[in-house]
Order: sequence, then structure tokens, then C-alpha cells
Amino acid sequence: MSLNGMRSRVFRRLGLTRLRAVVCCLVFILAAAVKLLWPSGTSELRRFVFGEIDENEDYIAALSSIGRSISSPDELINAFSRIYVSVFGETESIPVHTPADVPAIPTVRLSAPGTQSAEMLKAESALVPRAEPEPEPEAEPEPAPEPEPVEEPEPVEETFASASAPALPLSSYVLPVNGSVSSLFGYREHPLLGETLFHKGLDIAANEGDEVRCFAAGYVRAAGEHENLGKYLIVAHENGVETVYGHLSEWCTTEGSTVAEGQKIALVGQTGAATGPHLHFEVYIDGEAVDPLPYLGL
Amino acid sequence: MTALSFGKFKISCGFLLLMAALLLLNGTPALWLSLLFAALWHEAGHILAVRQYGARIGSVTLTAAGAVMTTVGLPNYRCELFCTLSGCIFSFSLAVLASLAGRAAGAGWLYALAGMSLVLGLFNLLPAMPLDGGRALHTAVAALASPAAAEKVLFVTSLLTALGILIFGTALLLRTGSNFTLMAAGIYVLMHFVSGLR
Repeated sequence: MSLNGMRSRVFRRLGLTRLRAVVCCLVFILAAAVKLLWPSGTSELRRFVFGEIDENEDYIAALSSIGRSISSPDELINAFSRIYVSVFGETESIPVHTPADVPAIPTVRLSAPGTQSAEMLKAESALVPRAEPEPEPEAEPEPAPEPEPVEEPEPVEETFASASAPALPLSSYVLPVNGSVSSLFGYREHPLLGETLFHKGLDIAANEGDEVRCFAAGYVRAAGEHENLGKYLIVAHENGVETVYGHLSEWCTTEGSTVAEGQKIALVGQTGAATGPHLHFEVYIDGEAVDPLPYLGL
Repeated sequence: MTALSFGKFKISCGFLLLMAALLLLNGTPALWLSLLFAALWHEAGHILAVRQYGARIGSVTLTAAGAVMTTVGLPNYRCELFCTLSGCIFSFSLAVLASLAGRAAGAGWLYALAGMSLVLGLFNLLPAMPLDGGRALHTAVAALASPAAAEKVLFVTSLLTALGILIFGTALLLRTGSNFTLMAAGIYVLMHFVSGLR
């Protein structure tokens, strides 16, 4: 008698087959119930399993770029580089910020003295074209050529993503760093997710050592190092808002500390996969990444 | 391993656990919805082909690594080969259609579905035994040489495929620290190989 046959006979005699089936069904029903009734719990669990920097959505991004390339062979090479980037877990898909990368977007100079509120900024900041060039990638730590972003056929959604930006449930917030936007949030809107994929944050080019101010009051949920994001901070604010600060050269706070709005929490750097000093800034509302640009008073 | 059974249609324990894990760990429904749809479409390809030859479906079991189908009364090797490959043909057609539709409609989720379907089809073409590629190879060798030769060929290709996926999967896991999908696929193929030894 084969081992399998013997095992299944033992299982049957003990009623274990039925028990196993019932347990599996219960696990599935429980998972579905938790997902429906307690969505924040599942994101906690996801965080626990995959770590603070969640690259889960990149599976969909990778699959999407494969799917996209099927109907357009020109994009095949781009797709493969993007698959590499997303499967191998780069949170930032375009760490190279050359001017050619963002041709359609007017580059904007951000400047905010101290802890000015974003509302005030909005009134002040006009779209001033920048005079000086982007910081050239000097002394590349990783000379691997990054893919040029594919020109999307529907750039409208991308540039006007801010039009449908959800209201931030915070009473006030500030610009985290003075600088210029060097890379925008996302490639495109994902209709199912209702959010943009790939670049889950906004890059603000600044000088090495510039102070990074806390977006709003909260506490430092995590301070760590990540292969791509470099030294990073995650700050939890009220009402399910979280902000992520990446490529920092130094932390000026510690995990678990309470931080005030506008407080100096770190210094700008180029740790991780970055080719020039900049702040990678992400905003999450209830675990969903949103475009930070509308909240920066632009 | 069957947990639920609706006539010919069965769901394995592994499938339920996989779906539970995807529900809990994946923040968005896009991944598992497109996986489910692409898998069902793939099976529809098999079923339609089998029906076309007037053969009967023994059972369809959804497992953690896709559906396993048994058929009764396929007339010859050529029909069997066609029925085995029809799943992948369906997957590739869905990939092309969804990609074109996605381009026309500008819908990102259609691209995700297209990519999922293509990956599913390609993975299934690997020449290891529980997968379509392995079954097709088995049928082809059995037809050209003998069933015994087919067993031997599949023994080698299944082992090599399993080890290959495991090596790449381990490299990927080490590289990313969290991406264990390929590794899990390798373990599945290897487990099937080992259980076939008994």
C-alpha cells in the first residue's frame, strides 16, 4: 500500500479529512469577514508580514506593464525594465530625475519659511518656471541605467490627479522641505484601485542637509533603512493620515517620539536608490497612497 | 484534499487557504480578482475543447496552483494534446484581448488582467508535471515513443523545472526580502514531483 493511501485511510478513520475541510472553510470565511469588517486590521497584518515599506501593489504594477506591452510591442523593452524595477521591489521606479523625465510638467519652486501653513502657501506660490537645471546625478551609487518613463497616451489623468484629491483630514499641515518638484506621483490612475501606481510619492529636489519638517503633528511610527528608500521615517498623524520621508541623510528624531507640525525631523540626503539629494515624500490616507502635491499648496 | 464539492466541481483546502491569504495580505482586490478570472478563463478553454470532442469532464478541482481537471473518453493523443494546450491558448487570447480593450478604454485593470493572464499561460507551459506544459509533453512523447518514455522524460524535466524555479525563487526572495511568489511556485512543483515518486 502506498504511503498516500495509508495516510488518507488514517485521516478518514480519525475524521481528520472532514475536520481539515471545515477548518479551511472557516479560515476563508474568517479572512473574508475580517477584510470586509475590519480593513485596517488587514493592512496592519500586511505591514507585519511585508514590513513597513509595502511593495504589494507593485505586483499589479508589474502585471499591468506586461499587459500594456502586449498590445504595443514598442513598449516591450520598457515593460521588461519596469518589471525588473517592480518585481525586484523598488518603491521608487524612477530614481533618476533628469529634466527629460518630466517634460510635460512645469517645474515649480517650492519655498516656505518655517512652519507656514499650506493654505497660506497656496496663496503665495505661483507657478514660477525654474531657472537653474535639475541637480545632475553626480557620483551615481548605482550606475544601472533606469528606464525612461513611457509616455502615456492619457497624460490628462496624470497631471490633473490633483483635481480629484481627497480632502486631507488634518486641521493644518506644512511643506516638508523647500525645493522643487523633481518627480511627480505615479504613472497613471488605476481605475480599480483609484490611485496611481509605481511612484507612490512626490520627489522634492533639495540640498543635502536641508532640514525636513514634519508635515503635521503626530508620532514617529517607524524610523528605518530600506534598500531603495534609504533612511526613512514614517509619521502617523491623526485620522489615519501617514506620511513617509525617504532618502534622508540623518534622522533628527527617534521611533516612537511625538513630533509637532513643522518640527525638524530629519535632513535631506540621497541614501538608498537616489542619484541626487531629494526628499521622497508619500502621503497615505487609511493606508492608501495619495498624491501629496495638492496638499503642498500648489 | 478536497474541502468543498459541488458535483463535478471541487475546491481544495489549499485553494481556500491561498484565497484567505490573498484576502488578508493584499490590500486591493485587483490582484486576486484578476487571478481568479484569468484562472477560470483558462479552465474554460480546457472544458470547451474537451466538450468539442464529445468527451466528459471527470472533475474540476480548484487547487492552490490552478485547476486540475480529469477527463474521460478523449479519443486519441492528438485530441488530448489539443485539450491540454487549449487552456494556454485561451489565456493568451484573453491577454491580447484585455490588453487591446485596455488600450481602447484606457482602463488600467484590464492591463493587469492581461498581464496576469499572460503570466498564467506562460507559467502553465513549463514542462513540469502538474502544469499544462508537462501534460502536453507527456502526451506528445507518449504518442511519438511510448508512455514509459514519457514518464522518464517528465521525471527529468519536472525535476529540472522545479529546481530552476526554486533557485530563481530563492534569489528573488533574498533580493527583495518579501517576494516569495516564485519560491512558492517552485515548492509546489517540487512537492508534486516528490509525491509522484511514491
